Amino acid sequence: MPITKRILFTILVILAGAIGYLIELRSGSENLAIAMVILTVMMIVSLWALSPVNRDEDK
Amino acid sequence: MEIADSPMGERQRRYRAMYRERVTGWYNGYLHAILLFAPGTLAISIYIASLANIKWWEWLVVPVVFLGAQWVEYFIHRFLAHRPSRSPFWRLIYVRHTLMHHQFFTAEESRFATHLDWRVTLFPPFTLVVFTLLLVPPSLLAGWFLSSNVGWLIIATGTGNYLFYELLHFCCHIDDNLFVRHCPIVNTARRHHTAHHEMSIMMERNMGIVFPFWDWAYGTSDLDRGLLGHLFNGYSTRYIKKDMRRTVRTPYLLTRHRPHSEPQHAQSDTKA
Repeated sequence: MPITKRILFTILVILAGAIGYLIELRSGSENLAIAMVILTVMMIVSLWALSPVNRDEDK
Repeated sequence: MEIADSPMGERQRRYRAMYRERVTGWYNGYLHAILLFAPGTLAISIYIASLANIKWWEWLVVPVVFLGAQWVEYFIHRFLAHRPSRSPFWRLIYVRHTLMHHQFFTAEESRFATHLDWRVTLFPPFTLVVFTLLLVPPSLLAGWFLSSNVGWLIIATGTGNYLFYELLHFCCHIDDNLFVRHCPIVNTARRHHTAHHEMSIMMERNMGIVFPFWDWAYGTSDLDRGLLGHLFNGYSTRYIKKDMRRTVRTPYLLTRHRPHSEPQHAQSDTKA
């Protein structure tokens, strides 16, 4: 995945994570709100991980 | 590196060796699996923990979303992963699936040699992120207009379907063992998917990659039996259709000069 798309998806993940965080806070689930932050971080790691593998396939 | 007692042909053996050379040296299959399943499992746990006072009708979302997601998987596999598209994105799916995955794994040899081969089957880790982002809008809309439980169930079932696919597809390509041989659904998926890797039927049979529901519905299965029989067939070959059009077809050839050429139906090129 090109770096520009990764940046775009990172922004979208942060937005989605923020929405999930706010939903959990409004429903009174502080623990799940913290878990949502952890999930967002893990998603960003997954988004950027293993990128150099088999890059020539994408061409 | 390669499986010692494999019945694979020389062509497949060469392709597998070439593919491995192209994977960068630091690749680790265990890390790849963790990057997929750890956030996926955490996500589903959060979604399920967010359910509250769930009503009976809200559970109906689960089979509807599951079968809907299975249909999308079936459609993409049947009409895009096995046919070259004009779109670069869909053509990439075709190249990775038909030209790579189906050359790496055939009906003669469909097992990983080591964890370094998991790259051929597991999707890149960012796929989970993309699927999650695709699930967010319908989940938010359902949560807003129907109920928050329906919203959480949509995103939980969608994510679960993706992990279900990854896990079963992975199980289809590991060595045989007691678990995969006797676990219902898993053993069905293994036979169903291995049959799909038979080059003579791969373009038209068993297109639901690991779950045969839509193959049963559309009549594209290689089995001649009912729905329950399809789902719990296991390793049995008793009900395999005997009147299949076992047309020998090679994967369509994609070249720089003929990117959108007509399918190549070579009759002699499939058994190397």
